[in-house]
Amino acid sequence: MNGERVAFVILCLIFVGLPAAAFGYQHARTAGAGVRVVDLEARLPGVGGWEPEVLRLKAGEPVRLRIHSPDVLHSFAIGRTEVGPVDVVPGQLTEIEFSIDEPGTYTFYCTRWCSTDHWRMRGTLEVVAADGSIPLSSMEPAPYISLGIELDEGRGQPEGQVPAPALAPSAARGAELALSPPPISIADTPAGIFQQLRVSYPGRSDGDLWAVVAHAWQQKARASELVLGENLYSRDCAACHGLDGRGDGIMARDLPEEPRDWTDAERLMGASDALLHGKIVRGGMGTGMPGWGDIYTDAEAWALTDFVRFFGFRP
Amino acid sequence: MARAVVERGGRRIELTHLLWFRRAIRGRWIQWLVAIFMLAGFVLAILAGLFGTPVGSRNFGVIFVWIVWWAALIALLVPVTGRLWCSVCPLPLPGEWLQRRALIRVRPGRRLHTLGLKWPRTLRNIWLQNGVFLGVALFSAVILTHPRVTALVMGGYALAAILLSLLFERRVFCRFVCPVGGFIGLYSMVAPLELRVKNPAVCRAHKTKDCCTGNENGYGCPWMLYPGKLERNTYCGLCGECVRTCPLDNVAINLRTPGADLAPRVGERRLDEAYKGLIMLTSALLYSAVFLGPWAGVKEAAYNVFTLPWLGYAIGFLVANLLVVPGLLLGAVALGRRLGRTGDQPLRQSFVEYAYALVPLGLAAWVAFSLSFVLINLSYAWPLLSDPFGWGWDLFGTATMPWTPYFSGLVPTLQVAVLLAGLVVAVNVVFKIGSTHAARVRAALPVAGFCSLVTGGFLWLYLG
Repeated sequence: MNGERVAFVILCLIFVGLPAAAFGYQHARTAGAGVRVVDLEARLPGVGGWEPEVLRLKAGEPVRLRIHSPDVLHSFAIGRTEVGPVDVVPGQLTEIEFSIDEPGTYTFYCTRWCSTDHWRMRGTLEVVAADGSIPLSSMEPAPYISLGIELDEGRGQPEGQVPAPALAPSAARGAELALSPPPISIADTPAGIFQQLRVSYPGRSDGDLWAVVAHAWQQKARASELVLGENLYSRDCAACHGLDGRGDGIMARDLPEEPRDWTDAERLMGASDALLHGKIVRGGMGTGMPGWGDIYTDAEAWALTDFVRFFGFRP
Repeated sequence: MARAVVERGGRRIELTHLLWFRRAIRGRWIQWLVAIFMLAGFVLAILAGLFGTPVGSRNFGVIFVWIVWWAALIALLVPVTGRLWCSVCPLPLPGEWLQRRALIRVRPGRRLHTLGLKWPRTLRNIWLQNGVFLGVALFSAVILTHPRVTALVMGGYALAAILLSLLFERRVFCRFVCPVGGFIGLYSMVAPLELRVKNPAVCRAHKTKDCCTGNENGYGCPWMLYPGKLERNTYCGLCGECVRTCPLDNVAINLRTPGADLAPRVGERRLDEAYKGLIMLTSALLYSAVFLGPWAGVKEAAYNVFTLPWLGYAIGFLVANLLVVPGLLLGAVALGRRLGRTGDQPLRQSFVEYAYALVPLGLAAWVAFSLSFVLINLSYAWPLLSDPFGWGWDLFGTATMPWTPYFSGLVPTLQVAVLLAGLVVAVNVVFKIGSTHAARVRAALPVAGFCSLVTGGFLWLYLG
């Protein structure tokens, strides 16, 4: 073989052999692994957010997401599932492997406060059934709908002439008083229960009665739920509502409307659990408050509701 | 044994006098194989950029082009070997093969397969290279970090090189278009390696000029040069064709005093080259400010291309490169002429002459700037040997090697040392240029001050 032919063979190896070897090896490797590999880019919402924004998988199909961020720290989680959150550190490749058995539409989202538009950083995961269909959501409607509560029509004000407590009522003090509050439903407000207690115990001071109300709500909420609620609040709410619930989070100044101050007793005592839960799952229309109904499980949404309630009470 | 001779510009050691060296240069295979190895890396970088992970630090295209290749080029190859990279650069190879209809063999007497158009006279300079460099520099924040953009830019260069090879004579792309070749050529004047004829009189007397036309041993100079008149490294790509074709063995590759081309009155002095020196120095300064400085807003503007803030950044970048820093140098030169009362030559000529003093300073600035990220990020290369596409491979067991900054504590010291060395050489050149006029160290003082001021700017940014 003369020199020119040797050179030609070498050139063919580079231009044909190299790509063929690379793609062939990768094909054999992924086909053998039985895992579908999907690349996902996490960008600040103002410059693109998730790319692609919609992912489609087959039910039960193992998938390995390879996520990267070209800008700041993000995180990836899929709402209403156990998948994530995992941090997506800029300059690193984050891999997460999972499968979802239940067909339906899910929301994947960022859990790190990456910017003021962080809450817009959501994408859609469609999990397709074996017959190719994507069933509509099987979620029950939120209780505020069946109870007919209007989330945006001035609800959350104290009922009647109920004096709001000057200090957050102490549940421990309420326990010491050993009075019997009426049973509490999700449609009840603390102010309403307070009024009922006033009728039942006319000789008691307002402070005692509010303490009983606090104790009643504490008995309703399990400690583990409050811990879960606190974790969710820190992760998803504190940046706007503030760590202490005062509406003074670091992102608050850039919002179109001032976030709710959960320590405002007048408003909080007039709000039922169903209303608080409804605000959480639906979000605040036009306020910058995102809806969490597509992301939280029922247990998570109620745990957060209970935690928020305790901005108005002391343990 | 290598032969040492003393000529104008200092002592020289002729490397081609060594038998093994001469054989290595005259044979075509060693150079071809090195170039082919680079071509394989180039193809892999484009494939990885297009199809691999978009994460820059996990992609062969970004790390091996902008960290490994760049470090080797700016910190080693250019300062030590000048344009040696151009002799193994893969970009012009496909076009050259198409022109020659041959991969390695020599086909004497055959014309090159090209339309053979003449490159326009108005573009027979490096203004186009200056422009392309500035154009690319405006997008460098994106090019350097996004594998796909890196691949597209490199692919674009390769296509341009092929297209120009089909239309024009020889290596028009390398000589007049390639933005990398532009600054390599400028900085190769500093290098201690050169290709020169041994005796220009022999060339003048030689009638057939095989070095230009080619013969059975090699092709005519692809860079469209006449080696007999070669006085500077700037445009010689060290391809070695003239060493092969010279029937009188009159072409040598020498070791020489570094920076010999910068001595006054060595070769011509040109405004386009002067501006190249200014652009390179200013770009290094601006890159240091934008990417290493404390101004997050400017950095963000540089990254968000085609936005309004980026437009402001781009305009600022161009104005600084084309007007502000050249204006400052012009002011320093004009002041020097007043101080030294040296009005015996036009201001423009003085400006051009003094601008060559920025060559060693600019090279030092680029080495210092590169040190800031090369040593920190070099360890990203080891995993990519095993997993060039970022697809989770582990071909050689290096895929999980962690990111480890090398000598990070030493970086500021090295930067200071390199910058001060560059300043010393630059000031030395300034005073040599000044001493050619009648008065006149005083004439050189403002330009020396300009060089010191710029060096101070770099030191402030790096040590700040």
